[in-house]
Amino acid sequence: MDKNTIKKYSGTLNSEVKSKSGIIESIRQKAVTELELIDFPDKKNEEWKYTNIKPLITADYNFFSGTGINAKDIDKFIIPGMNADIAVFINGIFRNDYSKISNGKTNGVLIDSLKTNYDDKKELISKHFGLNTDLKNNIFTTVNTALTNDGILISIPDNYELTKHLYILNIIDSSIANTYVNTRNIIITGKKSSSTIIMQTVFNGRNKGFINEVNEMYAGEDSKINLFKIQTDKNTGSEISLTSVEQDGNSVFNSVTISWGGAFIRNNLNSILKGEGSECHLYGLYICNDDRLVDNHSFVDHFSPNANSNELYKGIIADKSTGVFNGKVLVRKDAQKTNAYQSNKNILLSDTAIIYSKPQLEIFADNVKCSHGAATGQINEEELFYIRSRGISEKEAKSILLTGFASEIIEQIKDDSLKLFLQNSLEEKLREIS
Amino acid sequence: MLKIKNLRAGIEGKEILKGINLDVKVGEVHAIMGPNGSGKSTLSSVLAGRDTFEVYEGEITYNGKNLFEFSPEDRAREGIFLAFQYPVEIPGVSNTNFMKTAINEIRKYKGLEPLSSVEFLKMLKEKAALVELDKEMTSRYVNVGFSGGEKKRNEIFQLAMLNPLLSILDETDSGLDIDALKIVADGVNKLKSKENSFIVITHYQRLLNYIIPDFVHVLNEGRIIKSGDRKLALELEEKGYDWIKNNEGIKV
Repeated sequence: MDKNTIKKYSGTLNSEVKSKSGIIESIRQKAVTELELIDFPDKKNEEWKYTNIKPLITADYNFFSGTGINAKDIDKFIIPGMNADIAVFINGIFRNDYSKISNGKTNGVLIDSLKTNYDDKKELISKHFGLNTDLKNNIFTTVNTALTNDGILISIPDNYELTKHLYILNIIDSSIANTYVNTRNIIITGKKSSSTIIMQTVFNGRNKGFINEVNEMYAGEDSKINLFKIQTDKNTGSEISLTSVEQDGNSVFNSVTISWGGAFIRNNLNSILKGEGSECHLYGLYICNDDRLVDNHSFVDHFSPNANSNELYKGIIADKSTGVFNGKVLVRKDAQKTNAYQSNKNILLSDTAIIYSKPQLEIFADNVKCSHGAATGQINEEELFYIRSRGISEKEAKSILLTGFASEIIEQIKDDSLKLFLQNSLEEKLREIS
Repeated sequence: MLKIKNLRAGIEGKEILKGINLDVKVGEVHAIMGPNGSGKSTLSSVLAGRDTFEVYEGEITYNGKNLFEFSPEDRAREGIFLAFQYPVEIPGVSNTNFMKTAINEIRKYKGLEPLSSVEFLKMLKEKAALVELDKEMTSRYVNVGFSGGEKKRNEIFQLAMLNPLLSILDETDSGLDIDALKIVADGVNKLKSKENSFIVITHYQRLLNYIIPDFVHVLNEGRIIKSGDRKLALELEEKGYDWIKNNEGIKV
């Protein structure tokens, strides 16, 4: 994967996946122009210091990859039991045949494929596309934009409560060849609306799979968005994501990111607290083993007064794996009476496991309450002994302690079926590592 | 049931127990009293198998088997229970799940089937009532946010659930007010039988007003310097530890 291939493929898209108005073509073209000016980062780049992307980008990928998945295979990828509408994407393309969206185009709600709405929703797209995505500093966002094809386009009207959750399932199928998947999701929610969105990535196939995902979200005044990002698939694959959320006044954004799947995960999560009184709660749980890597970069931008941010990321690092947490909180000059809290806690299970934890706080306002911290340790011997003294084996005792450590994050998932799925998956993962 | 012969043990090369001999038979209650730093907690930790403590010499047999060959979990499975002086908080793990896992691991060791949920819940309810632990506390995370008294009651609740043969109460009375002390002691008395034994470790005589010991041993500087019956505890209460230290070597 190199810049020339990306440019070439962007050109292919321009001739094959077109919009009548040319809106998407000009978005892609702008990104291609930016691409000329930047390079893939190496370890000298502060933002990528601990996360080596070389193996990821030196591989060759198919950009238009076919799939061997058919109707009878789909169920095995789906988390059962959720009261949710489901949007299925295979290799980045919306699959109407596998999706079930009961309320996609009624009552002013729009939940549909981005690609089929380039022209119908031209204004909505041009108003929001790329508003909070930096094309100059994060090359993967630039690549994603240059290769804009499909994704989900959601618009929730004012005062609307999305009673069914929306479950977006991204299947990366590399059964035919190494596969690069590009996905671009745009989610706009109206005033006083509420919605819960589940985004899950799963990998299928023996070749290399790599998804580059950009989620642009806009939370209207007094609205509430829950976003549960599930990266727990057992198959190996790589994921780079950017989720940027712009929040109007008094809006609430709850995010829970669960990562113990794949082989390489880098999440960027930006919460832009534009409106007064807005708040975000960012939770994350990551577990790495073997030589896997999970890297969470978060950025909370306090623009306005009286906003609250609360962030807690927890990690369990085993074997020769690597965890990265980089959390930046910026409190701008006008953001008086900000409450910002950030914490990162890690348990290292081996001498060769590594965590790079970097909480950052930059404050330019004078009347604020902010705190941040990071703590990394091993399994507490006293706790372990206490549990063993009740007749429980050392292995099981460790698993109990780690489950307890993780549960604080799992508890944040406000969907019983999803929670149960994660609890089972966690149990399996902990058995694998302890 | 438990025979300790010339036990010398300590931590990081520092000898704390300097030759303990103790013989606990089935159905007996032994009290071990002693001032701070006399080695009471070291003894309980060694019995439970805490590996930060080192054994330099001596032997402990439990039901005829060498105790040192058992891991902490196997000691529990063989029927030894330690009520901790400072019970540990375990966030994220409910009391109920903790006990269910413990009971079923012990049953597995004994070749028994796991308890059914109905049986387990029935037992949980019974045993919780024994130490007046309300239902809400059994579903809470283990010891998290519990008061000192609640933590100690929770230890006795666990004891009741696991139904051990040999229970070691390590300063279970410390930090308890008189009401909590009575609840804990009542619980222990209800659990006491001809089949099980107790070692009650305490600094004060107070607890022994409620849990009546068959034997009282005074531990000082790593040695049992005096053994007797219940009266010894009362005498100690009256005269203080200095009395006995000054009369070291006089056996009753």
